[in-house]
Amino acid sequence: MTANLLPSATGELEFKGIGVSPGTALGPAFLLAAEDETVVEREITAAEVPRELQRFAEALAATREQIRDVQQRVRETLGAESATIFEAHLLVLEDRGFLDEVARSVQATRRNIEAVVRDVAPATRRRWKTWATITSGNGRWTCVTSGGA
Amino acid sequence: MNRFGIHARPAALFVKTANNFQSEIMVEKDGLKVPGKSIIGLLTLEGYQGAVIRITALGVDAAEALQALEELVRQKFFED
Repeated sequence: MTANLLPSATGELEFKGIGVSPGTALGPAFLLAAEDETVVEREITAAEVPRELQRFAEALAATREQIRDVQQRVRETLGAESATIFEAHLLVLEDRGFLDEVARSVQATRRNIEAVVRDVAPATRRRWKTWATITSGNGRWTCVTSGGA
Repeated sequence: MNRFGIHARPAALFVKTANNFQSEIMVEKDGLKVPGKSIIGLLTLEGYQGAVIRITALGVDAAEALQALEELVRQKFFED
């Protein structure tokens, strides 16, 4: 997505990209993530595996709560239809393939859950479409979802 | 397929519909086969309008599952 942010003589903003739905455009998402976000990796014993899986379950529950929060705010500001997009995000937290791969990997590689998710998630993230929507009319960007490169 | 292909919203609707059934559901496109109850799997397929997908179901409620999913696709995910 490219945008000519200098208004033309008519005051219009020009956006170039692939439209995927009315008022929506496809483009690279701006991933808002701290660059110095590093995951400490450590080895764990077989006895620690259940505890790591428990921490993962707790993190999933917290994430679910956060997404529902965002969903609720979007519902209030942009409407119910826009908010349904977050059903997809919620379903990722229930994706058997992803969850099983994380659990399998904790067992197999005996590493802490953060390191395992860090390695399993990119393969998953790569498959995610990234896009941003432009609320039609005022040319304001609203990032709906973002994935990794 | 609706005119926007299988994106997050319709994919979520597909998974939610598939989850209503016990049967194992698979979706296939261009030789790539993914579980129909996996949102990540469906997004991997990168469906687009006009794409041909094959849905298979195996289990006690396979016929009902296929009927519901076919209806969803036929109705273009209720998006158009």
